[in-house]
Amino acid sequence: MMASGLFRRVAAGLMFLACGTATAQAAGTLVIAIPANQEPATLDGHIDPFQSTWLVDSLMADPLLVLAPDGTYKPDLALAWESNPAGTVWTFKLRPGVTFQDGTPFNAAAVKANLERIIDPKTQSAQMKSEVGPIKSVDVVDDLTVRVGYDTPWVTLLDAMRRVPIWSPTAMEKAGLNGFASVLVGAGPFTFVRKVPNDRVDLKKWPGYGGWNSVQKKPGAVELDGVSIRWIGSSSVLGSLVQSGDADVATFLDPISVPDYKDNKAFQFYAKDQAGTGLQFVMNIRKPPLDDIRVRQALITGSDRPGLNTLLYDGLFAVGQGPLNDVHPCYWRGAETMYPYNPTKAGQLLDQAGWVLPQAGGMRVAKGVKNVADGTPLRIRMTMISRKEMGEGLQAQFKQLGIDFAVEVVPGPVQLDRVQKREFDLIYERQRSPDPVILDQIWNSKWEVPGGWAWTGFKDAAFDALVGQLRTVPDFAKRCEIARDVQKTIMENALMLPTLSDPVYVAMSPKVKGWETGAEGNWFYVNNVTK
Amino acid sequence: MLRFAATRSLQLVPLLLVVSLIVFMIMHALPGDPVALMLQGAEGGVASPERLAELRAQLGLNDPLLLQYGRFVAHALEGDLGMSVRFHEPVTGLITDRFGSTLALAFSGLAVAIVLGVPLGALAATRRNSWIDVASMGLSYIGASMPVYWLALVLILAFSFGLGWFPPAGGGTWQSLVLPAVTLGVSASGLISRLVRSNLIEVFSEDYIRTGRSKGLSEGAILWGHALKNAMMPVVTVMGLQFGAMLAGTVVTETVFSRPGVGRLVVNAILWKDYPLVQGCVLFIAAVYLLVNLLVDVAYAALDPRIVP
Amino acid sequence: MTSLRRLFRRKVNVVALAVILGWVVLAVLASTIAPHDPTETVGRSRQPPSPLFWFGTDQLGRDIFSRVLQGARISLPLGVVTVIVGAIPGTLLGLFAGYFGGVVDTLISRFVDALLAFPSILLTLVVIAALGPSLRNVIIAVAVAMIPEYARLVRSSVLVIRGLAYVEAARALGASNLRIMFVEVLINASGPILVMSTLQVGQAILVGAGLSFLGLGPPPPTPEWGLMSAEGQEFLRRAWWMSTFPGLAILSLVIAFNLFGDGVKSVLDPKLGRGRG
Repeated sequence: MMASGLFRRVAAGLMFLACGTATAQAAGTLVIAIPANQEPATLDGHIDPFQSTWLVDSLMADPLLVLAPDGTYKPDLALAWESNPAGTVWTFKLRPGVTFQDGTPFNAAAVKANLERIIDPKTQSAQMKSEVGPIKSVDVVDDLTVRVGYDTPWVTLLDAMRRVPIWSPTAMEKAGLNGFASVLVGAGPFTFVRKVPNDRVDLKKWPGYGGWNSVQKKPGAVELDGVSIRWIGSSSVLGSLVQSGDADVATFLDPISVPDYKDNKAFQFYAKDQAGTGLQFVMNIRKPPLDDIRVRQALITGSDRPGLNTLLYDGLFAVGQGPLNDVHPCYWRGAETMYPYNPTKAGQLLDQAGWVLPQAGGMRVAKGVKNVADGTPLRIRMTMISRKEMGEGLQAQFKQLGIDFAVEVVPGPVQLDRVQKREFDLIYERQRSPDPVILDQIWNSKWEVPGGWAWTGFKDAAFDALVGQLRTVPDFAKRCEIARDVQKTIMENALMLPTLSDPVYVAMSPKVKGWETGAEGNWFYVNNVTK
Repeated sequence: MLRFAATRSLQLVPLLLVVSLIVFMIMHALPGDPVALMLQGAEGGVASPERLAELRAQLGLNDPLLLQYGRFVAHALEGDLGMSVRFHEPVTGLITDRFGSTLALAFSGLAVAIVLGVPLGALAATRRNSWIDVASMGLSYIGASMPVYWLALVLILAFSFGLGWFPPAGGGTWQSLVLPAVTLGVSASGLISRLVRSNLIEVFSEDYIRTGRSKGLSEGAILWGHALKNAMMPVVTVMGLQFGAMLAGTVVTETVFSRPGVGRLVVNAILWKDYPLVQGCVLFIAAVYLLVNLLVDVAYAALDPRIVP
Repeated sequence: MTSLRRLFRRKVNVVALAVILGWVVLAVLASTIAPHDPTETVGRSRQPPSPLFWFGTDQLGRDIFSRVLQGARISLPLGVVTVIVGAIPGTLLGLFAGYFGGVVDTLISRFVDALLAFPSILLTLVVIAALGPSLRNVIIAVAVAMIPEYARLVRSSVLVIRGLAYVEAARALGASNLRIMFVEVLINASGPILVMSTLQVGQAILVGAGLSFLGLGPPPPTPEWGLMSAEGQEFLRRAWWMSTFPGLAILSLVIAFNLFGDGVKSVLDPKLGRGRG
């Protein structure tokens, strides 16, 4: 029994190899190359936490609403929405006449099934569940109206629902929890054909698509025959694919490939920043040496971030200054002048904190530091997931200051393990969203729980109350105001080390027309694409 | 012959059991709580102690180790190697999805090694001590001393970025198989060519060759008819061992060329601390390796008229 | 001593040994003769080879030539220490199995067979998975894979030697088992052990570099040759020198060990040298 299944799968793999389907691509198929480190473990966006998962899912399953390129929310499977003033009840009015790719009609019951699946503990949703929040109830008011209820206000539901793929409930039920990732039936412009792990995802045009996405200009099915996503492991290969014609679009290019396309008339190119925290590193203030604010300040003022940018990325990245990057709508400008680059000052701060340079030279050692034996060397470790060269650059800079700076590159689960055990000094934590609610997610000590995203150990009741408002105040301008105060407090306490912010670089062949970039650099729409 | 094959196959069973025991013990000696690792970032963020305990009971992690091992073996025999922590998919499925690609790579690598190594070794043997001999032996040394990844990068530089003949990454087409196969084959060909050369030299001096010469057979007939056949037998053994080494070599080659494969799966599983996946892969590869060695032993016995099985 | 003379009569062996010694000298003097600090940014990033930077610079603007020199201080000791760590337990196991025979032999041989059931790289990977990536653990992991090979080799040598006349004589004279094992048997088995060890040093360096390449070795900014090549892969098209020179360094060192090892083999045991190659 098992042998036949085994045989079948191995044979399929060999056959696929033999057929060489890569060359047998339909002419109207758009080939998009994406770095392999964004390849999700599972394509079921309810379970997998990657942004790239939800992006790929959006090709197969339309969400209720979309964040249009102009930054506003526009209808997709939902025509209208509103929340009550308290932010505890959200009502969605759904679009009539929509069916899923398997013929199941789309209605409020389908939306209910999707939301309940996300919050079900059995699903083990890594990220989506925390995005949709602590839902208390989902009610089917009528066939085309659904109501989502909370006990406490949840003002960011729209940002979540623009990414939640709405799958067909019949397909979800039939395939079961783990089997659905091979089925993936939604109401999007393309149907799922196949996924070859570490290689590609192939999608085919769905003729029955109604063009419900507001971004789409013409009603009905899309023009493309299909989409093929290729996961490319080497960034130098990624950078050469559009030039060689092996891909139509290459996204998330490495800065080193940028000069090939940027001013090159033969190709299309754009750079778009991703609003969010930038590549930030939060500090563990629970134990020495980072329990002393002077040491933390020394790190910030002793790091030459523009210098890093020039050395490593030819100045193409953006310099980070604080908890939000400078393309974020609620960015606080004050961060730029708080800790200007001053290695002398950094050295003085370290001296004051009791970490002195020994006579014989070498790394700083403790002298009269609380809870630290005299003579202990100043060792700080930075834990990161990627962009190792940035860590090494900082390492060289901090060595000048007498800090023994260790760089550790680990994969995601190990990073979370370190957080769980509180075994870190500086650790990478990046969130991307144009909404300032990410500040609450990261800095409110309420979320200092297993699986939560508050890692530093900073606790202040007044601050928590301030940042908590980001969850309850619906007016965006007011939220930005609160966000700026929050950033000021974080910087005054020197709780994080900003580094750089990486824009998304995309190169395209001139044949590709109608490509729409999302308001967020890491999103795109292919509904209008022809090639 | 059949009896020989049967006895060797039976010997495989206890060996596999010991292998599984070693794999199981090492994996359970590893640091880190597997349940906590499984629920990392799940549940929308909060993994309560109750949920941890519930999952631990569900997975049977509170039972005595011997029972857990027994269950592990029983499941493995049914083809169930557990669930991957990272992919949330059965380990067996993850392996079989990729094994075809690895097999294709290992076979083509072996083919390249034979195509390169045998003629080179034969040439060196027939022109012994000439500059051809020295040159081909030199080449084989270089091939065997090169880091696999370095050869891969050099090949990519020359034939992908330079000449544009072959793709530098990916899988699925025969063109994407060429450079990885050459990478794998070159280092193995070094060993094969040296072996063919020394065995041929030995065989040339054997009695039955002299008999053949005296009978008036041409040099060519002697070479291809008798000598090569007899010289090939230990080479067959080496080829079998090389296949095992090649399964291992695919680890680096698949990574450099971004090919799907079991080797790359194992490395990523280790980096991601996906212990069930590591465990399943190791058991699977070890089993395949043992099987290949068994087949080689049987083939060797079949080929060598001097062995009485 | 005639063996030594025979060894050095062949030019190949002399050259190989010279290369090895050359690297040892470079490694020892690396800090003094390196033109720049291997961990400092001394130039613009990704500069091609020039009179100032013989091997060019890497992504952080560090001098690759200095880093390659520094890398010798890692790879050479790695190779030697790994072999020692692997040879000692392996030799002891083989010695005990071959000398005592019987139950001891069966137990040890079954254990060794089980270890040999794994392709060696798999064993290495499993150990790294258990212990985590670091230089120390690379040594342990690669050494573990060597143990069964040494055990098997020593055991078969011991089986031959223990039946020989002078061993019988020693026993008749009342020497203890331990003394016989270590003095008579082991010394006479030392030839094959030496041959294997020389060859294994090169092997250890290769495997160690491969592990670093996969990200399973020492962390940055260690100028380990495998790690440097891995870092250079991203820039293969534009900065080929980043990956190429560390690879050449390994190639030269490993060839030297392989050639010298084969030379030692053909001198110490002419039977071995001629036959299996």
